[in-house]
Amino acid sequence: MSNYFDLPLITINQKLKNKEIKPIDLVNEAFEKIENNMEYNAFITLNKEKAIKKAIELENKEVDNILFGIPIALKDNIITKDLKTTCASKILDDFIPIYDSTVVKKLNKLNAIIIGKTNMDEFAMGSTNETSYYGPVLNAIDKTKVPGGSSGGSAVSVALKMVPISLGSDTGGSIRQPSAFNNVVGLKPTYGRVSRYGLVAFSSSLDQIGPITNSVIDNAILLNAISGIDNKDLTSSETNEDFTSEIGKTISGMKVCIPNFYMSEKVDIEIRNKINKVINFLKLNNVLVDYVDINFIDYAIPLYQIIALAEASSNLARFDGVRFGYKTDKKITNIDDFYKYTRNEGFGDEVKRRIMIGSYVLSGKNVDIYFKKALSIRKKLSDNMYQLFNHYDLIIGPTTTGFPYDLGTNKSSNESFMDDILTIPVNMAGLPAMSLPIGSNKPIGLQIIGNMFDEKTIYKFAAFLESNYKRGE
Amino acid sequence: MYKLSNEQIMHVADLAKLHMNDLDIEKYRKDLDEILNNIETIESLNINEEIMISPSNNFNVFSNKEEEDKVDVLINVKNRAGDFIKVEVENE
Amino acid sequence: MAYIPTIGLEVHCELKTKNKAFSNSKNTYGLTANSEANEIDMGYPGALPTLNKEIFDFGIKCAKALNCKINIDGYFDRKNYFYPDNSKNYQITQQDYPIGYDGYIEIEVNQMKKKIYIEEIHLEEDTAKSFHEKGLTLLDFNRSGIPLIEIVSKPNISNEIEAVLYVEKLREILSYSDISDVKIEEGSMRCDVNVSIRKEEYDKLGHKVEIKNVGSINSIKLAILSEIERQSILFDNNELIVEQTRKYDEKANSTILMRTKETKNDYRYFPEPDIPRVHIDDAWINSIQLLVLPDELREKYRSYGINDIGINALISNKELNGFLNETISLGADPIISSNLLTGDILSYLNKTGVSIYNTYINPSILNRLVNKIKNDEISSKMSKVIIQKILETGKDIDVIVKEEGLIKITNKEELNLLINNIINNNSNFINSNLDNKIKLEKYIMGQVMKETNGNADPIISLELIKEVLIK
Repeated sequence: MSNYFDLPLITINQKLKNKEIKPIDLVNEAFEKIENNMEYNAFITLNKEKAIKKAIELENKEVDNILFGIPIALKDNIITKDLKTTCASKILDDFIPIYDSTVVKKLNKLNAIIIGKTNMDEFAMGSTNETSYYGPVLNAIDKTKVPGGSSGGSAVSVALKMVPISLGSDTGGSIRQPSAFNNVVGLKPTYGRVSRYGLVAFSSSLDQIGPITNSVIDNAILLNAISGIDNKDLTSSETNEDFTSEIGKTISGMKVCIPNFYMSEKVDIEIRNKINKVINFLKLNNVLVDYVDINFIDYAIPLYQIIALAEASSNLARFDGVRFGYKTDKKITNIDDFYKYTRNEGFGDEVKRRIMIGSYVLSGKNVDIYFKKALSIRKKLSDNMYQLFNHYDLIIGPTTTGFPYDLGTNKSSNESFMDDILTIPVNMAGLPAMSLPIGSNKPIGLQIIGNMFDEKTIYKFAAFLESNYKRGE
Repeated sequence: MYKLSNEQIMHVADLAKLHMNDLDIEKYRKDLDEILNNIETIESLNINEEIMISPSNNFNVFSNKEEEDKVDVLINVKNRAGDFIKVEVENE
Repeated sequence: MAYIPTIGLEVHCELKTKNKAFSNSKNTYGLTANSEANEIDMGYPGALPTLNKEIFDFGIKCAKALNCKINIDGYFDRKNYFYPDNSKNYQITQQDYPIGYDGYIEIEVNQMKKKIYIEEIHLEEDTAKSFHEKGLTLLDFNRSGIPLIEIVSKPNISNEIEAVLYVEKLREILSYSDISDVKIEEGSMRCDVNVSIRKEEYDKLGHKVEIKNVGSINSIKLAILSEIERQSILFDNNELIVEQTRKYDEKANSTILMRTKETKNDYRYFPEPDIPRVHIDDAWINSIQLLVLPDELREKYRSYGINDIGINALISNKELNGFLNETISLGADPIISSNLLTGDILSYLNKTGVSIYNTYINPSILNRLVNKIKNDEISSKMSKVIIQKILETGKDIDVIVKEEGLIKITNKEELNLLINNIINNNSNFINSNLDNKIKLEKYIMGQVMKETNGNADPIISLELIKEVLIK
């Protein structure tokens, strides 16, 4: 079995150009590795036939860009035309989309090869990949632990090199947290950086699609490929840049800050120690490191529980059995029951809980007491974070408060939200953030948060650490 | 003391169009209560100024009216009557 | 006991845009079911709305036409409710920031002008069309996403007559501004009527009852009357009037309960996060031109001296106005032009169903005809024949005149000869009526016209007849 996926994209690309290898070799490696790792349950649907067909077609085409012929896995909430898309839910168990997401159109144009759709928490709701209708995903480093979520499958498939790159989605930490739990590089781009057209919406004002890779530069390359303004997503923006352009530069002279909130007792002491080691390294490299307070950051979780769940309750209303998806077999005598049985049978428990909370906070007077108030607090929190960038280049800290825990731990719904306490504030403000692996024997992610549309600086900083910071120490 | 009464849970389940019987209420109640307790921590904050609907600062973004490929919107419909989508409820 | 009714109206009109509000699907009518609906219109997972600028152009135009203030910052909201015709189970609408507010239109009741105030007007998307049979609903999503403007009046309509005048005036304005086809039967205009009653003028407004989707303007009148009666009886018996939604049954001429407001829908409105705000600046507002509105046209026509019947016919037949304007601008007499247009020409158009711009007549031809009438070259009777011939054959006026022998006979000698002939041939009748000059004049005139196929110049003929009779 080959191990081309151990190589950087640039190198794979060269080998393709030299005709040392062919796209079919890469596709074969992908499926071999997947078949050897079935127990991880990282995939819901495999695209074997079409991937092979495409690989063979590409043999006669010019290798005209770096993603040419590269196998990629997509989280199963990214719509793919003619390829089953389930969002890991029974309610979409047999759903074959009739159109392609914008990101998929871009990848197809570049001739990347879609290997399959990865497992996830149902409708992206969860942080352990245990709410999937298709069963949990196992942590790539320790099979008894959770892989994190909701992009568990995407993170694990890259960590185990079943594919060299994958796309996940992040609403409150769903790319960064599983990336930290599996020692891979995951980025949530600035809100609006990547088109959401074709991303099955969970929380419209928080969702973003982002790249998950094994290296920083590959991550930037993938972001280059999928970003850009899209007329079909009115919230998308364009800055026309190359995210790899600052990689390789020194970080000397940079200024970073760490919110005290991110180094509180909530965070496991081992993780805090590791962060302190990184801080020392940074100081040695002439980076200014300050500790700051961010007002309202401790309200991140109630804000998320209000805003994300309210938007979700509305976004998931369309799943009613009428135009697509699962519908109940029960004999029903009125349309209300049709909806209620279909949705009750089609959705899992966590999804139902969240839809109910979301409906509650928008109901009657609650919309002012909870929802609109939450939007005010969100503005204050976001402004406080934006202001930091007047003085600092980046905000850093740990990605998670702890390590991957046992599968089946059965935390309560409210407790599970705590897994995302350090990642949620970033989505609230729409800022870009990466999780960079800095642990050695245990998975620890360093969260690097940049200013709006400043992914370039994140990549510069992360690449320097990746090359120069010794994780073992 | 429960945060939500049975009626309130039934009401919210009705809004969300989820079937709910008494067993279900008990199943969900604890989690719903816990989350709502957490949500209520914002009540102590006295903020009611400008709201942030989205991190996007875009405005006046209009469609460019591109011609689109036709899609077969009926292909995933389970109940059809010719070109129409059918919804059938049994008469008692 | 007679109570004081208060009426409010909520009118939904389909906007005549080329594309739908939040997708690029075409805004068309009467195609195969579900053929003009894409993944956005169908509420597919992953689909996002786009924003058609046209709906704001139309919204601004409507705001101007209805004298509304314009909200310069436009936002949309989601109205959440489940129903098979609702493709996302939420509707994108404007709740907090409607495009227009605090407007009015003027109606004329008993020759007095009254302002009916408009609370707000807002943009929203339409739902799918549904056809119900017993237990079966068929859905066509072609209509899903078509842009609507909802016009909400303040409750200052006093009775069913004012309500009808309000709706008719609204239709006129929207039709003339080319904002909507406003055809109730086709569904491009839908009216919900709110009715409440109270004992005294100074009492608080009573509980209002909503009558949904009344099917015609006449039904609006009847529905209001029947609902007032229903509520009055309840009031008389000291019974409570419950806030509720009803439907007007035309056959029974009464309103029927649909649902009470206790099971009122909780729409959970919240700002739409997928559509960024719209900023409307002065330049944009100024760029939206309102064409001449019907009331202005009425004033203009009155100033020309056109009578009310003619004015009403012109206003009711929109396309005649442009035609009339063009004809007048060529120098034609307004009154004669209007008479021809609203008379013979309009009957032809009504009979054949064609548009005036698809006939052989054009403003230049009409102008020539009007001038000939004005100059007494042809009589109005002749003009009827000429118009028919033009419309049917497209031949030139002069050709028709020649072919039909429609030249006015003005030659006095010729006419005198004719008159004398008539007198000679009818000497008995004439002699027996020598004392009744008027009767003789009429009789002889009649004969002259008969003999000349109406071509004799009536004024000259009458003069000559009078002269002869004196002798």
